[in-house]
Amino acid sequence: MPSIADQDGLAANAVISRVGRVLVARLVGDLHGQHLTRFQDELLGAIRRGQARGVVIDLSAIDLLDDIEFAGLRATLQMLGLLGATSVLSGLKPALAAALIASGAEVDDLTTARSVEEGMKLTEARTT
Amino acid sequence: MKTTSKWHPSTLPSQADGAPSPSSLLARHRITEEDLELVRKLGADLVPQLGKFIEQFYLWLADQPEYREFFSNIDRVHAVQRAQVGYWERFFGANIDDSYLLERWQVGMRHAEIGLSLGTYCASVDVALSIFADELADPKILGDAHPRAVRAMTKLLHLDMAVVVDVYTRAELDKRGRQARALNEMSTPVTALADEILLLPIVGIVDSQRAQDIMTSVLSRVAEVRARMFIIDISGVAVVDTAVANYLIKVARATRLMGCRCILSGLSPAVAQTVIELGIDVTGLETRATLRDAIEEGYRAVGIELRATGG
Repeated sequence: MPSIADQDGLAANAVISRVGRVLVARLVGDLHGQHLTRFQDELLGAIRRGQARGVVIDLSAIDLLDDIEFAGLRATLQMLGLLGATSVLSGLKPALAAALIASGAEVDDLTTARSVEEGMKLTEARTT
Repeated sequence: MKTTSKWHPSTLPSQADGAPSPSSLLARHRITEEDLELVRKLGADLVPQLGKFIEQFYLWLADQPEYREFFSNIDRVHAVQRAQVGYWERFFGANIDDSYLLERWQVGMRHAEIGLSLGTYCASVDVALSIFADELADPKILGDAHPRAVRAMTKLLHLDMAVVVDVYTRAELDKRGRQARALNEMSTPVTALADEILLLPIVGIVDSQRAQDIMTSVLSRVAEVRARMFIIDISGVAVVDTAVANYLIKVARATRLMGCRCILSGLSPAVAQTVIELGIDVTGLETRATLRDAIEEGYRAVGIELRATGG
């Protein structure tokens, strides 16, 4: 599984790897515009090709997501859901969690985990 | 949530803290190199007599109500007197650099530490000034330059006072900040019930500041111990209105975002009625009537079985 490289001039903003039937996407950069599109393409493509059934998006390297980035992330999760994949967010930092809640972000329908490992267990439990 | 003070008495506060540099202080007090030279000339006459002046100063000081409190020990009096001789020697040396300011800075710190009031300090500076001025009443020492010399000495003394008052104020603010932080930490006593279960009993009034403190300490503890379950007991909260309910719901949501389950316990029937009648959105909120129920659920969630042993 390739990471999102800078093939067309974009800096890598996520490292995506596959463990069994779960994709682990470690977000390391921003999720604006083309970055978001690339991120979605990679994940949706992998699900479409049948390489995975679930996705763990690891946010442990992210200090802050603005409203637009978070909306993009939510949209990504919904798209994955449309393709029948389950997704889990993992490793949110206290400051990020507090900022998202303070900005009034809709979070009740999100599945979250403390770590990538726990996220993978959750995903596997829900896909089998 | 322990924060250390930004500055330390052994170092000068940095310019970033708003502390002025020697040159800017001199400019602010309109002290010229000529003024400093005049102060040095006065010093040549006054410094040899410092012992006598300090004696006069203590005649005044002994009448002050704070004297007994701070100078009950004669060794201490002597130590302070030696320090005062050093202080005035430095003053009449009139070399205003970082180390000069640092010494004044430490004087202010010392006063703040022992709780000597600024009022007494200002009065004592004035007394010292009077003692020097009396001695200088004989204008022969400097001739025509005499009035300017007295003025220069006064300006420099005011600069000293400004530094001492500045540090004194900072020390007081720092003290108050530390007290506020201690109070905050006491107001959010997060306790570990088991490896992955945390409990926070909330007692008293919840306002927006406290809600913010609760949010911060809950989330940082969740991250710190990688908690799987967080129980917030609100049976001791005085009033649960829309605002308080919303604060608590936010904390619960943020906790869940970090992958940790959050249970609110201790909801009284009155609180349940209020929350529903006010139409507060409680979807996704896990609640229990009693702390006991919440703890049992918490143990179950992390796989700990509670059972009675023996008799």
